[in-house]
Amino acid sequence: MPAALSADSILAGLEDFWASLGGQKTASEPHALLRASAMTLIVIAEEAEDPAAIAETIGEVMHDHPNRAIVVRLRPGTETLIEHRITAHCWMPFGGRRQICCEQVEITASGASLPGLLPILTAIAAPDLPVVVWCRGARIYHLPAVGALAGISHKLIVDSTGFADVRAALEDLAADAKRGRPVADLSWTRITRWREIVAHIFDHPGRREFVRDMRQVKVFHAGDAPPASAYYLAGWVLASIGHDDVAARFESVAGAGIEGIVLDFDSHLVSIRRAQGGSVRIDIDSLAGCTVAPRLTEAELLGNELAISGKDAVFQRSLEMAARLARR
Amino acid sequence: MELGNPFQDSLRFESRTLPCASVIFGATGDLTRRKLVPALYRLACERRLPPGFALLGTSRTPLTDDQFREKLRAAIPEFAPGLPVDGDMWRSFSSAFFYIPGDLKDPATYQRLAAKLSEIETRFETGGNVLFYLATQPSQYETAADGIGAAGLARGNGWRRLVIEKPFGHDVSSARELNARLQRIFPESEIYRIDHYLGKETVQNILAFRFANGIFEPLWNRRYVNHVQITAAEAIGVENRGAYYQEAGALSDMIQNHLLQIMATIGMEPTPVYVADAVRDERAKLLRSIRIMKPDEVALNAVAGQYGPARIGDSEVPGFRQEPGVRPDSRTETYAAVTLFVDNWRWAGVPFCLRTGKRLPRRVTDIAIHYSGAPHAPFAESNADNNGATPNLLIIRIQPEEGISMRFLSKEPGGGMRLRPVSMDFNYGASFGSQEASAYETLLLDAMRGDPTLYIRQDAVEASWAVVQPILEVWRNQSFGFPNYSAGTWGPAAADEMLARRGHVWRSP
Repeated sequence: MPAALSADSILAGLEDFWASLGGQKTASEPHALLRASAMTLIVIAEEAEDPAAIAETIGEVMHDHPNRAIVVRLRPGTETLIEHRITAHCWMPFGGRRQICCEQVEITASGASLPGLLPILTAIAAPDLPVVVWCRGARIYHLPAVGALAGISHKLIVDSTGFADVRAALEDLAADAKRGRPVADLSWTRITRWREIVAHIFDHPGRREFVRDMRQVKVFHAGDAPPASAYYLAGWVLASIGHDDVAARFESVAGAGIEGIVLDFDSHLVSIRRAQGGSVRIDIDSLAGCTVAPRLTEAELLGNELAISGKDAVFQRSLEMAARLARR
Repeated sequence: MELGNPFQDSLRFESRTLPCASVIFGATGDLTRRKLVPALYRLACERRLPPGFALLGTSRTPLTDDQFREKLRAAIPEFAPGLPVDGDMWRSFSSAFFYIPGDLKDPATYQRLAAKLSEIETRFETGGNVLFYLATQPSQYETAADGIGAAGLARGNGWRRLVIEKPFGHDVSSARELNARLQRIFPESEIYRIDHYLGKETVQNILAFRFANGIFEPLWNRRYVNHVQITAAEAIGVENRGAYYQEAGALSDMIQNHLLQIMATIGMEPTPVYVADAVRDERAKLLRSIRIMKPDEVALNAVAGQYGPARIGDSEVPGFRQEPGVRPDSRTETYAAVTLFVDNWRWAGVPFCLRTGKRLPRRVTDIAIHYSGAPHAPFAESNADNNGATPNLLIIRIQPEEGISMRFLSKEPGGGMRLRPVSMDFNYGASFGSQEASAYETLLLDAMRGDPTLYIRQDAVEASWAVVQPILEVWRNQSFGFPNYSAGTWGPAAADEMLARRGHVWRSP
């Protein structure tokens, strides 16, 4: 199998696979399966990662973003080993009469064989549909072959939360974004809800006057050092108001991820702090309220990112500012 | 000059809704419990409601604020299953619920509402924005609107809007009369007439399908389209709405509003921009272009039906006249089919066949554009029997399994040139997953944002009544051999005959 692996053999395997699935139709449900795909999702992971967990995440994402998933599991070593298998994720939509199925091609390859795999990945991507690459890990993101893959992809997703050096991660991402790489970071996706709460507060026209008097933004985070998402949140506030002479502070507290943000104006204070459960307490001077900010699963984060196509100018501005804050 | 929100991110955040209060008249009724509050709560859980949102309910039932909250909480598990009702989310949401008991005819009720709204305006910083929702009996619309007007509630610091549910009158003159009463209090631009069909994702998608793609519009006219069939079938009977339905009937309850709105969306001209009045202008123009039937044309172009009892599976299904609340000699139609023509350049001579009914074989709503055959068919011999159906069919499925299918002829594998219809399917679930937005969520949010695109304007209401009124008048004086179709069938034989006269057959959706 390894020697014979080619795009044609994988595509033929896909056809055979679907023909066999279609053969299971019954007389009462002659079209019981619907093969669905709105994009190609290429996932590159280390072989040591649990394949079942990756498959579960992909399967969950497929419900809202049906795709042809190609999972490349990188094996250590230099052997030119490439093998593959085909599976499907199927589900019955609520009230539906037909199962919807998406295909998953899993390829195991050595790091050395990755460059040779690129033409195959290009050829087996679903035609005329967007290609999204999800790099699971800092080492993978920095592989030259992944850089080449970025050329055919509409989006290159990473999660900088898993990168050991946050400062370097933000700088690399900012540099790549500047070079035109379509990078996206799940650490940024993770703070969408926090950003939305802040934006919501300033939907009130009377509060927009506050903005020019902002003195400080303070982000509360778990862990000793600020994670990338803390830099993103502060960076986004500063990039949004358009001046970086506002002080950005970070404070470590108990919890997980982002635990709160306080915006300090001359004569007003906006505080958004995580409370019990998934709820968040909002204080705007003496006005108090409550909303929710659930912690999203990896599948939800990925799904949110897949829902965004095209250039994300807000992310790019915030990334640049986050990298500057991390450097300070 | 008003400053913009520097934190807005239109790519990832939904466009925002300004804080407001919603006053629901008929707050202890079914609509509030089953549709409005579940939709509002789902919006709150999805974080799409503004933070300063408050709900003020009123009806005759004496309740405290807490009793009102509890009553609505109890409805959530049934009508919005899966949403949390015991945690902070519900507590926070319902803490902004208030209740004023009172009679709609009593001016003191409106004074109490005014006082509470003033308190809410300060406490929730709503800016004086108020959405009045009349979830009452239609006969009370005018009383409620007059009361709002007399108490000065139709004007304030912010916007004031009025949402009403169908029926908007029962004929042209009553629709005009209702409107005149409402417009004395609210300007037309602030009156939101809800038709939940227009809030359905797939109905909205008709416009995207037609006007965002260049390939379909050239084929969307009398030159290529043979006829159009619009079906809204329900498998259930009248359930516990027998008494109401008996007064309405399928023509008024479904065709006058839902199906004509769908027809208008299918047939309207493109708009230069997607803004409310441009879209509503074109819908209304299409409705006004529908040829009004003369009394002697009704028998040929309209069919009424009423279901009789039948055995479906293991169950004995009652006929309409055996349903609770229905008179044993009721003459109300539970099925209606009409053939309409649009007198304009695009659609002249193209029949639009609309049908709706209860106790039909399955629940389905779809639109089928039947295209004319090829001008010359070299393979006619091998494809002679197409059972009266045109070979090319574009089907827009609204429910269930939203999607679009195109049927065309294909050569069967093997020797010779034998043709067979095949289908090319687009299924929403296959491209957009299983997300499902409720029509009420969409429409309530639109009303709060001041976007009436999916609401019906008065001229469209009047044009729709003008289409169905001549049929209603003929039917009123006609005796039918009801019941004329068995529960679980596709309606009376007369409906098939109506299409057969033009060489068409109803498709089996």
